[in-house]
Order: sequence, then structure tokens, then C-alpha cells
Amino acid sequence: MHPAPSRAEPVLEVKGLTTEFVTDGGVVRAVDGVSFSLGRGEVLGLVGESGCGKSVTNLSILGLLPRPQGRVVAGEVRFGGRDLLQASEAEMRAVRGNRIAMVFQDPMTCLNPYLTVEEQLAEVGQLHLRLSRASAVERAVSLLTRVGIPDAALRIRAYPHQFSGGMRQRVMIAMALLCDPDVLVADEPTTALDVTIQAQILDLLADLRRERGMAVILVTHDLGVVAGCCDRVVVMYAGRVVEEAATGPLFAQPMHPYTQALLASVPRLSGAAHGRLASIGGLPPRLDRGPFRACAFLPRCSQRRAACEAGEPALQGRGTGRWSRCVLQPGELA
Amino acid sequence: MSAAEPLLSVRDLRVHVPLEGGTVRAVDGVSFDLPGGSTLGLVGESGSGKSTVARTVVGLNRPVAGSIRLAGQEIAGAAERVLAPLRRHVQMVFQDPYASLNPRMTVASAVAEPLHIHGLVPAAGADAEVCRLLELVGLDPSMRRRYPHEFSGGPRQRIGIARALAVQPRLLLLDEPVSALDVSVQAQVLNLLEDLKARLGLTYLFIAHNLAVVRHVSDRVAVLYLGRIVEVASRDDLYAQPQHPYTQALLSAVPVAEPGRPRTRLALKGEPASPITPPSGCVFRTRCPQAVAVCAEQVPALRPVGAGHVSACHWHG
Amino acid sequence: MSAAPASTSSLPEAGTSLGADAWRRMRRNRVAMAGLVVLVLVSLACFLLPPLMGMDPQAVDARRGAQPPGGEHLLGTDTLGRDYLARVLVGGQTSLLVGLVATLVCVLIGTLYGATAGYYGGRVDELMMRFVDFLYGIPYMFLVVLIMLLFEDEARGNPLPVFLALGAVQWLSMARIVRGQVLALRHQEFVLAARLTGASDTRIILRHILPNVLGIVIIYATLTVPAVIILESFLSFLGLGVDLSWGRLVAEAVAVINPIRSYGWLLLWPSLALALTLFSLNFVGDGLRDAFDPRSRR
Repeated sequence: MHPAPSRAEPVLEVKGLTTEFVTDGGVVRAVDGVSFSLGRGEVLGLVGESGCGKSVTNLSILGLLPRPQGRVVAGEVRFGGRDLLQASEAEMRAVRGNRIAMVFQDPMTCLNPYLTVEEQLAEVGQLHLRLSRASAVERAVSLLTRVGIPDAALRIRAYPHQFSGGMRQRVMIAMALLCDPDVLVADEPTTALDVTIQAQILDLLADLRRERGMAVILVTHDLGVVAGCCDRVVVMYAGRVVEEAATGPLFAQPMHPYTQALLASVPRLSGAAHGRLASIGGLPPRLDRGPFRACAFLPRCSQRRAACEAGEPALQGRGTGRWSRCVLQPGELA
Repeated sequence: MSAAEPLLSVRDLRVHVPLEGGTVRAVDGVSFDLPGGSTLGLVGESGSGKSTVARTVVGLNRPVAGSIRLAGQEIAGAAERVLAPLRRHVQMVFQDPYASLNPRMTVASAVAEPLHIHGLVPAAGADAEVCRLLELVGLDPSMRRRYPHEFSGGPRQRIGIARALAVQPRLLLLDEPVSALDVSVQAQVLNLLEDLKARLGLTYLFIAHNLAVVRHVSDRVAVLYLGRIVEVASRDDLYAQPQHPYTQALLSAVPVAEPGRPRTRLALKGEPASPITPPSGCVFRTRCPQAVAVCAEQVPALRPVGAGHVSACHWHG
Repeated sequence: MSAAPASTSSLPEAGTSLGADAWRRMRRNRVAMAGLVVLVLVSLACFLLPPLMGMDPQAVDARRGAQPPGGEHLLGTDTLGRDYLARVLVGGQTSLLVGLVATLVCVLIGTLYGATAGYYGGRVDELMMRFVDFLYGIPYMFLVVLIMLLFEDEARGNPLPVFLALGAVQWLSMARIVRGQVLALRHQEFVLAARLTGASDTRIILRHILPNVLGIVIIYATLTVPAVIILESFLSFLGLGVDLSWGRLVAEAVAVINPIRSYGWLLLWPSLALALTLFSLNFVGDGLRDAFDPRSRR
């Protein structure tokens, strides 16, 4: 008799990931010491605003940083018993699209407009699964049907621009699932879609995840999406993790002033309306000025203490599976 | 007691856009009133025609039919000569903070341009007025000689608002003004818009696809689908008691930042129909879970379903 | 009252325009800067040295005919004993001027034409661009040669018809490029905003459209100059161009080659000057294109 699966064996583990970009204005540290682990079949939300480093984290994991400007300077990404950051490009190619798949925000730029959907999907099967062309196409058609594309056997011959936005995203998902990956990295997969279509896509992802036991890293800035889809949440700010928790507890009792402020500044569908939204004054900090000498959120924090200026706080445990990077204890937060 | 005439009054507006594949009926019979000093939210997904309505009201599109009355004057399809003096009364704030400012003009030049065009201040006084406007939107006036690319999205949007306010308009059309901004910056700009409305006595036509944002700023809300209005109500009524099946589905599809809250999702089948060949009768019937025979035969009119609440559905009235 | 955003106090109050940004990026491009330096040096040499040193490219001296480089004549003399250094430098004046003026003509005509077609669109655009298409269909060398032959008498010594002929041919590409850019700009929201504010068409074209087209115009102008210089050289080679230019010198050098003596230096110096100038212009043009890359849009 097997015990219930626990988090003991994560499918993907990121430790101390640090990524820098060399730009005109200097070296920008886009990701600084980010760590998290992803359990089998778990949906992890990576939440933050633009510039917080959530997308760069994913690109770093998959070895897709633009060269030569971007490079990983520290850290480890454990997957399948080895460190992906040390893997060769050939090894990474065998992993991408196969064991770890990615779905992006804008499918129009990820699907080749000059090739039919059939060609692009079949290529994945032929390459990674060594299928014959006929089997690859058959598999692609069945997946397209599964993701909700009507008349898949006919539609597969079409070109990407002949599909609507929602349909194209479904095609991307089908492409990602072709090899039954262990991990799906979805970077703002529904941001560009209408609300009703977004709901359909998120439902689809939830079903597929249940069916296949696939783990998902969902990158988004939409807290509503996080609340509806994710098991755990990692909140990022200025390239570092500022809070990590299971979804319910995070929303019920956020333990970092940034998370609190973020939740307070989102307009709601119910409850009090009108009046002022709690906004976070100021702008995110620059990341090209070297290491932070104080808490990165300090200039915008309404709950600062003297200790905040002493140095960057470390990520501290706040109970099972909860972390926050703040000098304040949970009880001290407003 | 007669009600004062609304600042903006639109009746049966139709805008058809000729394309290669046919004519897109972007706006197909839209009517609404906007009383002075209030905010009307126009909500819909892509293809609903909400942006087209806004652009037609300001004269960027020509309607094929319908009436637009601004402060009592008919302006639908009017010549530029007629519209020119009215430009002072209506201004627009655009969605994309990166495309709505001329990259080659300093902030000061951009904000001052409306002042020069309408001769609102003597040349020497323009700078002082620019500083005043920038302070009004919460920007540091000493930054006015910078160029747009030196600012991030939130401040750029504020510059756009300052420029719109330069002519002291009465009506401000806001076309997805916060959609391209981060959550925290979005909150800043929404607060700013509320402040300005109160201070300057403005009237807003607020267009957005984000239902929570619309709820926050609007007094009344109109829901659009494929070029038609399907429901209009006061803000509280619409969100608490949506009547039209589309509004209900829309509200149930919005992700809420409250995990564990029980929600009944009203799933919509398929995708919106083509605006070139809209379905007969009710345009929503192809996706409506409650569609019946009459929906294909007759176009439903907007019928009252409560105080100040109308819905275009055969199940009502 | 919303909080003012935290201003980055280290920046000066005056903004860095896109032009200043581009110049900064250009400065870092070594190859482009080297090209720029070479161009400046060549121009200075061609325009300043002859008057300063009293050189005379036309002074014939039969006794000193066809002397190889060295001694009194740094670059040698041609078959008529004329100092070759003087001829190359003064010839450079013509080649460079032709390049510059013809390009200016092309920029002026092409930009105005293309901006008008692009801004008004519709039938105006169709008519104007069909005319351009028609002109495109005429082989350009044929056109240039035709113009040159028509003005053959006036052309003796007078480079003006050459400018016009070359500019008349090059403006077509510029018009197309500007039209494309203007078409894209026309629908940008800042143009719509200007229309909504009540700006007149003229104001929009002058203050909103043209400044944003400037970048691409500068780039293509810089790449037009070498094209024009080559065209002029070819014309001179055919005997249709001006009296004294690098192309003409090459033509004359080729004409005197015989099995006994090749007079190599007569061909070498103008060819070298041409190659150096053209390379530099191309590097600068490429550098400008990279510097103006609108990826500065954050």
C-alpha cells in the first residue's frame, strides 16, 4: 500500500538562481537568489509585476536567455536527477518541448506563420518521440480534439493566422502536451485573451493537469487567476522572492507588506466599491545599481522599521511551507 | 420636473467598417445617455464595439446611421468645421501609454500643444500652465523637459491625461486607460481619475474589458456584445443582479482574488460569432445556454427589468 | 492627491532626446566612428588642402608628363604633367559634392512626396505611387544618360545637371520608404490624439509625422550618398559626367593603359580614394541604422 504522494520528491527544484543582463546602462541583476520547488502535479503561481523577474526565471530554467546579454551567474536547477544549468545545449534541446514544455502569452509569435499547424505539431512528435510522420499527425489530431478544437482532422491543415486568439492558444497547449511533459511552464497564457475565453483555457489546463499529473508553473500578474488555479504561490519583487505560501493562507493572511499592498490595490467584483484603492506609491527599484543595501521594498513600504535599513532581510520560515522576506513578524504586520 | 439634458446622448448608432472579406458591423444600434458629472462604464470583450463607439463619438470614425448629441448639439457625421470648436469639450485618453505620446516631443511640448492650438494662453504663459497641469496629475513639473521614453507606463499615462485636460474638457473618453499598466500603478491612476473627476467636475465614458476596474469607477454600466448593448444598469444592480445571460456568464468568468469562494461558472460554448455575418435575431444566441427558437427569429429589444435596468433578452419583458 | 513618482534625482532635468541617445550608441560603435573620422579627414583634405597649398589640378607641364609618385609630385603626374595629388583632391571635391547635393535633392523630393502620399492615403496615395511605379519601370541608367545627353552642352564643367539627374533617379526609393513609414505612423495613437486636439493636417505632418520619419530618412540618405557617388563615377567613366572627379580620373587612367606602360598609379589613387570613401559611408550608414534602432522603446 502506497502512502499518499507527499512533497518529498519535487519534480523540479530551483536553488539560488541568479541571472544578470549586460545592457547599455550597466549590469542588471534581473533574478537574485530565487529558490522554489515544484511537486509532482502541483500548480505553482509565480506572481509579480513587470520587471520582477518572473519571466526571466523561466527563461533561465529552460536555457532560453538571450545571448550574449543574459547569463545565469549562480544557482542550480535540479530536474530528472541533474542540474539543467550545467547541461549542454544538445541535452537541453532534448528536454525542451519534451519533458518541460512552455506556453507563452502571444501564440502568434510562437507559431510559425508560414507552416501549417500540422507541420509544426508533427515535428514535435517526430523529433522527440521518434514517431513516423503518420503517427505524429495522428497523435496531434487527438490532442487537438482533446483541447477543444472542433473538426481537428480538418483544421490541422490550417495556418496559425486562420485561428482566433483562443484557438491559437489551444494549439499551443496541444503542442506543449504532445510528449506528455512532466512540467508545463505557462507564461501569462491568458493575459491576451478575453475573459470568457480565458476561463475556458484555465478550465482546460486544470482538467489536463488532473488527467496527466503534470506540474505547472503559472506566471501571471493577475491575482484572480492565481486564486483560482494555483496550489502554491511565490511572490516576486525586484528579482527576488518576497513571499511563498499555499494559496489559501497567502490570500487570507499575507505576510509581506508588498503582498498585502498588491492584494489591497486590486479592484474587486464584490464588497465596497468606489473610494480609493490602496495604491503602492513610487516605482519599482532599479536593478542595475549593484546589491541592495537595505530591503528592496523599503522606499515604497508603509510599515518600515529601523531594522529595514540595516540590510536585505533573509527569507524566513513562517510555518509549514510559508516564507517571507521581511523583518516584521506575522503578528506585527498591519 | 424635467431632467436636465444629458451631456452626451447616443441613439441607434451604427458603424460599419468595410473590409476585404465583407462589411464588419462594428457598432450595430447602440443607444445610451450620459448625464453630466457621472461615469458610464462600457464593458465588453474584443469585437464588442466599445472602442469603436468611443472613437465615433469623438469623430475619428463616421457612423452610417444614428445620432450623437453633445451638449445638445448633433455631431454624428458632422464636418470637421462643425466639430473643431467642440474639440474643447471632449477629449480622449488612450490605452497604450507607449504609442499615445509622440516620442520626438518633450513632455512640455506635448502638454502645451493643445494650449497653442486653441490659443488658450499667451505664448509666455504656456510654461506655467504646463507646470500646473503636470502637478494636477501628480507629476513633478521639473521633469517636463524629458522625453516620453524616459518614463514608465504609469507616468506616461498621467502625461496623456494632463494633455487631455489642457483644453479643460467637460467630457473625457477613457479607452482602456489602465489595461496596459501593472496592478499597483493601475490603482494609482484610477485614484487619480477619481480625484480629477471630483475636482474638475468631469464626466467620464469609461471603456474597459476588466469588469472589476469598471465596477470601481462607474455609476452606470452598459454591457456590449458584437456591436449591440445587451444590458444597462446602475453599477450596483449590474454586479449584484445581472439579468442578461451574457452578463451573467461574463461575471462568472472573471477570476476573483478570493480562493475557495464557491462560484458557479456559467460556461459559454465556443467563440463569438463573426461581426461580418452576425447571427440572425439575437447575436448572442449561438453561445447562449438559454437560447430558444424565437431567439433566431427576432432581435430582442432592450426591455426594462428593474428600476433603471434594461436587458435585451427574449426571456425578459 | 496621488503621490508623485519617485524621481531619479541623478538625471538632469533636460531629457535625452532620441537623437542624443542614438549619438551615444553610435559613439560606441568603433567601426562606424572610424568611418566617420575617415570621412571627415577625406573631406577636409579635399576641400582645404588645395586652396591652402595653392594646388592647381589643371596646370599642364609637358616636360613632367607621366611621372610615377615621388619627389615633388607625391602622387605622380598624369600624361599631361598635371600634379596628380591636386587632381585627386580636387576631383574628390566634385565627387563628394555630387554625392551630397544629389542626396539632398533626393531626400527633399522623396520625403515630401512620400509623406503626402502616405498621410492622405486613398486615391491620392494610389495615384502618386502608381506614378512612382511607372518611373521605376524605366531603366534608371537609361534615364540618367538621357538627361545627361539632353544637357550635354551645359554639362561641360557644370555639375548641376548631374546632381539633378542622379537625384531624380534616387528619390523613388526614398519616397517609398517614407510613405511606408508615414502609413504606419498615421494610425499611431499620438497622431490620433493630435487630431482630437484639433491640430491641422499641416501641423500634424510637420510636428508629428516628419520628426518621426527623420531617423529612417537620415539612415537611407547616408546610404544613398555612396550609391550616387558610384553612379557619378560610372557616368564619368562613360564620358558623360563632369570634367574632374574620381570617376573621371579612373576613366582617364584606363584610357592610357597600353601594353608597354600601365601607369598604375593613375588608376591606383582615385580608386583607393573611392573605395575608402565608399566603405566609410557604408559603415557610418550601418552604424546609424543600429543607433536609431527603436528598441529603445521600453
